[in-house]
Parts: sequence; C-alpha cells; structure tokens
Amino acid sequence: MNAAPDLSTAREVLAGVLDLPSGTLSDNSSIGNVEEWDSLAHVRLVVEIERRLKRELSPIEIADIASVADIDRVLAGDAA
Amino acid sequence: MMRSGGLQRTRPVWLTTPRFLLRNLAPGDANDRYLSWAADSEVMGPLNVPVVRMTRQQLAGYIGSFDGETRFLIGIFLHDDNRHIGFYMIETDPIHCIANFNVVIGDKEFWGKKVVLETRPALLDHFFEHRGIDKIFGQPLARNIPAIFNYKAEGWQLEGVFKSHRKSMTDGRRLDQMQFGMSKDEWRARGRQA
Repeated sequence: MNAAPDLSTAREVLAGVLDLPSGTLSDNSSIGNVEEWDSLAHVRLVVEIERRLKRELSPIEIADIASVADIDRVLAGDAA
Repeated sequence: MMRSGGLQRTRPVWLTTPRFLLRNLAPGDANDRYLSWAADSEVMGPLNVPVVRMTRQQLAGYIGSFDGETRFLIGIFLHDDNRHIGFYMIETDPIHCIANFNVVIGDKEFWGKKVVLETRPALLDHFFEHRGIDKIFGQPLARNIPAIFNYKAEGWQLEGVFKSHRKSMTDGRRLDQMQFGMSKDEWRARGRQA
C-alpha cells in the first residue's frame, strides 16, 4: 500500500499566494472550495511556481492547476 | 421558433445574477469608460487585441455591428449603480450550433472579484437552453492566466493547445493558444450535480 503523498509544500505555496495562515488549507483544497482562490491569486500562484522551478510553465502545466494535488504534481514535474 | 440554420430566434439577452445585469449593448452605450478600455493595454493585452483610440461615434458604430442574432455584444452592468464594468463578445455558428465566447472585464476594480464565475453560467444556460447552441468554446492565449482560472473553475474541458497560433500584437512573438469547450450535455450534468 502506497503512503499518501506529502502535499505540505503545495499547501504552503498556495497559502502563501492566498495570504492565508499555514494550516488553513487541506490536501483536498481546490479552486472550487477555497473562496480566496480567485483569478488574480491564480496569476500569483503561477508566478510563484515558476519562480520555484526557475522556468516558465508549459500551457499544459498551467491548465493542469486546479487543486493542491495539482500544484504538487506541477512542482514535482509530473504534470501531464 | 427555429431558424433555417437551427438557431432559435429569441428576444434580446436580458439576464440577472446576484450582482449584475447582462444585456445587449446598444450604440447609446458607447461612453468614455468603454473607450478607455479599448485604449488600455492592460485590459486588451491579454486578448492580444491592438490598443485603439476610437471616437465615441466609432465605438457606437462597432457596437451597432453586432446583430443580436448571431453576433452578440453583451454588457455587464452593476445592479447597484448601473455601472458598466465589462462585456462578452459572443459569435455563434448557426450551421454547427456552436458559440465562441470572449469576455473583457474593463473596470479593474472588479478584477479578481469572480465576475466571470457569476455571470458566465447565466449565459451558458441562456445559449444552451434558449438559443439552440450545442457547444460553447473559448480560446484564451496560453498566458492569459485569469481566463484559464475561470475555465478551470467552471469545469470546461481543455480541448487542445495550438502551438504558436497567434502573433503578439505588442512584440510580434508567436503565442500559444488554448481551446476550452463545454457541451450542452456536460453543462446540464454539472447543473444536476450542483
């Protein structure tokens, strides 16, 4: 049985761009259930991920981001 | 009543949401606010539309070029003070019963205020249920992050990425473009889930 992935970095990144206290978000947080996650926050999120990866995201990677789990995959370079 | 091409001829668009009224724009809606959006690279840049300085008369003529039958220019107005804050440009194809949606939020005070998430569902309902449209699509540039956020949040499907499909109006670079789509069946299924 596989252990659940550690999404703490993804949660931290999202909480940072949303200006939320750490611990506010869960592994299930997504565009659909986080009120503060709006279009301008999404711009900040993409910029922050690109800053961490030191490269521009591909269109597919950008289109893949809608949840904490998605952020984790993109940060890990596992996006579709 | 069905038109020969399959689209339904109906009354002008007049839809309300909790904060906004959506209605067809008329030449009389050409005002300084709208003119300022057309001349603002921050507003028009994400759409890759060249900045233009129009006269009020030219803008009125542009608005009047939308027939309200197959091509729609639909204003977004605040209930509170009737302020015009943006618009949808919608072009339908009567043969294939499809519609291409574009949206501009010109009033920067409303950027990040989920205007599209509140208003576009009303238009999707309207065009699917009252104007004979079977599929709606949008084609944002790949770096139009706010637009992509809105498509994702509404559950549209990414149908493809067109590589180097557009030429930048600002510096001539080739730009990637996406296509997001929503079918009538998908939209109705989402309504049942809500």
